[in-house]
This record gives sequence, C-alpha cells and structure tokens, in this order.
Amino acid sequence: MVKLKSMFKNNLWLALTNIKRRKIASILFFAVAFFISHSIFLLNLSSKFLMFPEISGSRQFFFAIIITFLTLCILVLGAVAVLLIKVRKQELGIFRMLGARRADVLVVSSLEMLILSLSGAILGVVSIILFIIFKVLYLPFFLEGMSGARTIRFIATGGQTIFMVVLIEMAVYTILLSIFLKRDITDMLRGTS
Amino acid sequence: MSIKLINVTKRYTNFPFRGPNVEAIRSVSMDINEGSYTCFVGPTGSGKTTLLCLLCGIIRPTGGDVVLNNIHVPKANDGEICQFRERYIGYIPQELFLIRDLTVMENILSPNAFSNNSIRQLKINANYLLERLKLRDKASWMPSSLSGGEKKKLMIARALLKSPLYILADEPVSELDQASTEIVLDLFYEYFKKGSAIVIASHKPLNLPREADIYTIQAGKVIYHRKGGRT
Repeated sequence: MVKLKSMFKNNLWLALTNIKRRKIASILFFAVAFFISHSIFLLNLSSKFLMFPEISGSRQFFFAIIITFLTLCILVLGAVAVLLIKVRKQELGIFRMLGARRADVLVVSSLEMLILSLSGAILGVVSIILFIIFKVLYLPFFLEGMSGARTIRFIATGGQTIFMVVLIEMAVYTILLSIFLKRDITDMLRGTS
Repeated sequence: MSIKLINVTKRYTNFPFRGPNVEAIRSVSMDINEGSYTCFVGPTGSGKTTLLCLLCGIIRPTGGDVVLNNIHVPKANDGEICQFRERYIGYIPQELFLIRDLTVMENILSPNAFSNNSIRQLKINANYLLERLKLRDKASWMPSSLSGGEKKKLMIARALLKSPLYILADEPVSELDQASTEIVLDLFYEYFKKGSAIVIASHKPLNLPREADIYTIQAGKVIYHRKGGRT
C-alpha cells in the first residue's frame, strides 16, 4: 500500500512537471478537450432532447454541424498527439534507457492526459451550459419550461460528456504512444524516425 | 549478483540500406561482479559503447548470451530487463541525452521517479550529488544554459541518484577538465567503496584505482585483460 502510494505520488509529480514545463502542448490538449466537450455535449443533448417535436425540423442540420466539428477536433487531437510524441522522442528514450518499462511511461502519460482532458472537459461543459443559460447559444427546447426530469437529464449529459472526452483524449494519445514505444531504445534516443 | 557475457557477438545490420554489416563485438566473455571496478579501454570504434549497452540490456546480442542476474537477455521480455535496469543499473551514455524542457533538478529526478523511492528522498540525494559535482547553484537552470562538461556531470548525477549496484559509464570524463575529472573519479570510487560495481569505457588513459580490472578492446575483441589487485 505504501509502495503504491509512493508510486502514485511520483507519477503525479512527473505528470504535473511535464504539464508545467510543456505549456504549449498542455494548452493545446486542454483546448482540444474544451472544444470536443462542446460538440459531445450538444450531440448528447440532442440525442436526449431531439425527440421532442418542437425542434425535430432542424435535427439533421444540427447533427451535421456537430459531427463535422467533432471530427475536426479529433483530427486536431491526433495531430497534436503525434507532434508531442515526436517532440518527446528523446525524453521517452531517456526514460526507457534508465529502466522505465513501456507500462510506466504509458501510466504517466495517461495521468498527464487525464489531468488535461478532465480540466478541459469540465471547463468546456460549464462554459457551454453558461452559453445556453445566457442564450449565447439559443436552445429553447430545454430552457423554456424546463421540467425536473429534463434538468436531471441535462446534468447527466454533462457528466457523460466529461467521461467521453476524457476517454477519447486518453485513448487517442495512449494508442499512438504505445505504437511509438515499440521502437528500440537506441532509435528513440537518436531520434531516428 | 553478477552480469555475465558468454561468447557474445553483436552485429549491426544495415538493412534496408546497402552499407556493410558491422560486427561490433566478436565472441566476448566476461563477468562483472558486484563491487568490482572495471575499465574498458580501446580506440574509438572498438566496440566499448556496444559492450556497455549489452551489459545493461539496452541492446540484445546477435549471438551468445548476456545474463543479468539469472535473466537471460536473448530470451527475456522487455519488462524483466527494464526492471533489472531500473533497480540495479545507473547508465551514463556517451552522448548528451538530456530533457531540454526540464530544469537540471527535474532532469535528475524525472527518469528516476519510476522507482519506489519518494521524490523527497530523491531530492535529498540529488542535492548531495549536485553539491559534490559543483552544480548546486545551477539546480534550477535549463540544460541549454550549461556547458558540455556540466551536462556530462548532470548525466552522472542522474545515473548515481539511486545508488545503483552497477554504474556503467561511457566516456564519463571525455568532456571534463582535470579538476572535474578528479571529482568524478573520486565520486565513482566513493560508490565503489560503498559496494557498487563501476564499469567505465574510455579511449584515453585514466587515473584508475589499483583494484580496477582493465580490458583492452580492439575491433570488437578483448585483446588484453589485466586483473586488478584486491583490497
């Protein structure tokens, strides 16, 4: 138990140090999480609320816009992840050279991604709720005469969105990183592609 | 505990390019025991770095066997080798491999944070090593602000942080002045006295302790071995 606690503390320290020292990459991941959470929140919301007859006419148009935006965000996420892995190639090689297993590197990177995507997603969901409440984004179907059941659905949608954003960011980054970590340590150190 | 090389061969193939294949190590056998002091000497390109990489399991042999305390490297999985390296080996590469976005202190701590030692304990050790290597006042500097010799000393501090059982140093003093060379060799001797095995690869003659075993390497072969005197 003590060993696990110490390992967690070390991993957390490493993840926070990496976030602090790589501000641009961290801001990019945070921003991607922020925007993905907007799309997913609206997508989730629409799938829950679009069965109501008052907005069924604009359904297809609404879906099309959100899915396009979500696809773009995921592409940007993939590009940022590849870029960050390339930039950190030698660092990962140093970790491996000094005894870090692939799993150790993946755990720290996942923790980093968890912190960034969770904070980005929470802020994203909060901001879109504020947009809706202050009618920057006008969605009349759940604001006007919103019942208790609808409010609960609304809150559940927020939670579900945060979970999905974290899952998407962590999955994309972890999959790309695990492919990269299959390389030889010497290749990683020398930055050979 | 020991590291054994049994009739080891290492060949670098140049696939898919058409350059020649290089046989860096040819039928080398040796034992590196706990608490020993070993030095590989030989000209540039003789295979010293490859030998060190084989000893710490960074590369696998083409032929023969490398045994890291009962772990047979050719058959072992990556996790087993990494665990051995993480627990028992401090490796100082010849090239300056540092993390450019992290400070001097973070460069020392980060790669060692995968161990069970707490960050607080690691920081205490790091401060001691930085003090010994005269880098204490540069702990918050970025590596780009350091000179070549200071970068090398930083890598030495990073490798010694967990007081490993085996310290493998590839040309550790090649970029250092005389005073720094003495500091580093004294530090190695201090760890040797504490029970660590020291393995140094160098192309230039060093002022080694009389306990040191010296292997002369040429064209991937051990051409001369002088056993050191025991204390």
